[in-house]
Formats: sequence, structure tokens, C-alpha cells
Amino acid sequence: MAINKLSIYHIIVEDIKTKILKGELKSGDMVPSENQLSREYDTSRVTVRKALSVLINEGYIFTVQGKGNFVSDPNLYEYEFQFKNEEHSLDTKLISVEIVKPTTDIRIHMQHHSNDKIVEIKSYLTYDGDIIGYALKYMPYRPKEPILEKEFHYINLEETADNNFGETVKIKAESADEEISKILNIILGYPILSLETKIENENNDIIGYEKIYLIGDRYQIIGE
Amino acid sequence: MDTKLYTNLVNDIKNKIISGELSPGDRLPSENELLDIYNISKTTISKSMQILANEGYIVTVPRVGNFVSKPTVSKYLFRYNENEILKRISNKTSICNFEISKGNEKYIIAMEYTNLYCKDSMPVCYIESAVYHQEGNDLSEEDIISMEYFDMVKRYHNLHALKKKISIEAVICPQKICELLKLRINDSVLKVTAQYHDSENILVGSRTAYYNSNYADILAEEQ
Repeated sequence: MAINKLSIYHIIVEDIKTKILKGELKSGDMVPSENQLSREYDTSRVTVRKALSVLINEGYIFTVQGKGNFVSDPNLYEYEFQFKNEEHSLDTKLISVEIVKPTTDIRIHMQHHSNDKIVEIKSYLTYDGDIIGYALKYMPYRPKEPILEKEFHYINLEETADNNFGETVKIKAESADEEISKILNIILGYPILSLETKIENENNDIIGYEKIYLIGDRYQIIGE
Repeated sequence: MDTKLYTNLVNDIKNKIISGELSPGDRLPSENELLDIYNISKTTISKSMQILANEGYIVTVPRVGNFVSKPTVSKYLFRYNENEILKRISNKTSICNFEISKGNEKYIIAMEYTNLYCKDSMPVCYIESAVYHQEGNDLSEEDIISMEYFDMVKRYHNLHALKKKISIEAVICPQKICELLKLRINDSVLKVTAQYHDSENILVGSRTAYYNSNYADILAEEQ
């Protein structure tokens, strides 16, 4: 019984999606009413409402109070992309981990107001064994907590994202300066795709800052 | 009203899963317990569970309960919204170029135009747009100036059926665009290419944006 109900809700969702994709229901068109749908699928209004709330949540339709549900305009200005998937998995090769005095720049990025030392992690990003980028990461140093070596091998955007809140990535095109061109063995001024990330905890404190430099013609971000 | 209630419950549970308060395999409070905690109707609770299950956060086992799913490691999604970026970085648009040329086999007409986006007098972004279609062109240059890109695409295609793809890369700025963006030869530029295909995988439109990174960066937010 429960399984049956679940599949009816699923069928309604898929049917309406198909009609929208085929153009039978166009942007702005009204979706059949709850009553019509519950008659058509011979099911309860609760099931119909569940199906409609999934479609609303996925952005296919929207509700006008007292009037009904209507087909939305798809938001084609938004894309989703991922930095990691089976084909595009980047590996990290640790260069160094040091406890350092923060420079002014880093203090500003991390909103770090004291002269307390911080942890600096440098690593290469590799793809198929080739170096395609360089990552610089800073996080607060807590003397009593041991720094686990294991942690550093895996520190990268993907790993830190799982347990933290509010992340924004700033994406820019830069030209390799003297330091970066030396580290990545490319000519001065070479195009660099830079990704700058600040990681915040639930109180909006910055608990990590990372900047990744990717060699322009070796990596591009793909999204759908 | 109702929408807000289930959004609250959905977000609350999502946050607990993200913060680790609820771990994979954990059982969610029963619907009756949630009823007591949140003081909302059973319908609202079951709607919320449906949404969480649909987004992959939980798995529902009929008659047993709702459980937190195992995270899929490969998912790390960011959202890039061109419209918002352009609004943030520029306050003026001008059309530089407009022409009708030959499209592809299915959509024989290509409508191409370019836009320059400026912040006051500083050019910050240059975009090359194309819309491919079958019917005769009934849009004038004036129409294009006043229309948003997808309002144009909408005249010829079902937007819901379009597949979109984007790539973001850093390249040496092409010479022609250097002049328009007031960049020096050999400066880097952020190139964002978006392509739209119909259900048969035939190109119906494309947009290539060049951002001057000194004045414009792209912000992508975690979902």
C-alpha cells in the first residue's frame, strides 16, 4: 500500500515534467487543479499535493494563491558545476606544512586580528600525474590540537566542503607572477584560473582560507 | 504560509545533516515526534519528508521510518548566475554588432550580436551571443537591444527542453577583445562559454563572455 502510494506520486511528478519538457505545458500555462489530478490518477488529494510540492521545490511550477499552479520559466542563467567527479578528479601532492606568522594580506583574508601563528599548507594539484595547479591553504593554529599528517594529504575544496557552512568561491583570471610562474614552471604572465575560497563555520567565523592557482590551458571548470 | 512551514523543517533537517548532528544511517524522529517538536500538521511533515527524500538527503523505508542517506562524495555543486554577476559588476550595456548569418542544418538562420558591459566608463565584460532558428527573422536591432537573451530564444524554442553546458577558463585575451576591454596584449581574461542544445542535441544558442578580472570576478556559491 505504502509503496503503491509512493509510485502514484512519482508518476504524477514524472508525467507533468514530461509534459513540460515536450512543450505540451508551456511557461505560464496552468497545471490541472488538485481535484482534476486526483480524479485523473484516482488518488487522494494528499498524494497530489505531495507531487505538486516536489514540482514546486524543483522549480518546474509555482503557486498563485487562490488561482492554482502554473509552469515556471526555467532559470537558464544558473548552472551547477562540480570540482570533482569520476573523470575530473584532481589529486593533491603535499609540498609543505608550516606554522607561520600571518602576513598582512592573509590576516585581512582570514579576519585574523592577532599575531597568532597560523598553519600554512602548500600543495600541488595533479591530474594524471601532471602538475596542473598549486594550492595554498591557511587555517588557525591551535597549539593543543595535534596536526594530523593524514589531514593534510586530503585537504582540498571537496573535503572541507562536507563539514562546513557558507562557502563562496571567487573565480578570476590572473597572470602568473614571478612566484607562481616559478612554482608551476610556466612563463611569467601565463594565464591562471584562480579559485579563492573562504570557509566559515556556523557562527560565520572564517576557519579556513584557500587559494588555488590552475594553469590556464590545463584545466577548465565544466558545468551543466 | 504552508510553503514557509515545510521550508523551515526541510532546511532545519538539511542543516543538521550538513553539520553532522545527524549522521548517515541515523533514523529521523518519527512523524509523530516531529509533530510534537515543530507543531505543524502531518501533511506538512510528510511533504517535507518527500522533498528531503527527493533531494537525496534521506531514504524512506515504508512503515519503518526515514533515515539519513550516505553522502555521495562526487557531489560538490556550485551555482553560477550570469544575470546576477552582470548586475553586480556593470551598470551600462551597449550593442556593438548585429548580423544575420548561416546557422546549422536544422536551424538555418543564425542571429548574432555582441554586447559590451561597462561600469561607468570602464568596460568590464564583453559577450558574444547567438540564437539559431528556422523561421524568418522577425527581430530588429531595436528589439534585441530591449530584450533579454532568453526572451529571444523563447520565441523559437521550448526553454524547458534545452540542455545547457558551461565552461570557465583563463585565456590570453584575443586581440580584438583586448581593445574593447581596454586590456593590454597578453593580459589574461576569464572566458565563460555557455551552449544550449535542443532535445536532438542540435545547437540552438550560445553565449561567450569575456570578463576583465581586474574589475569583475565570478562568485559561485555553495548550494
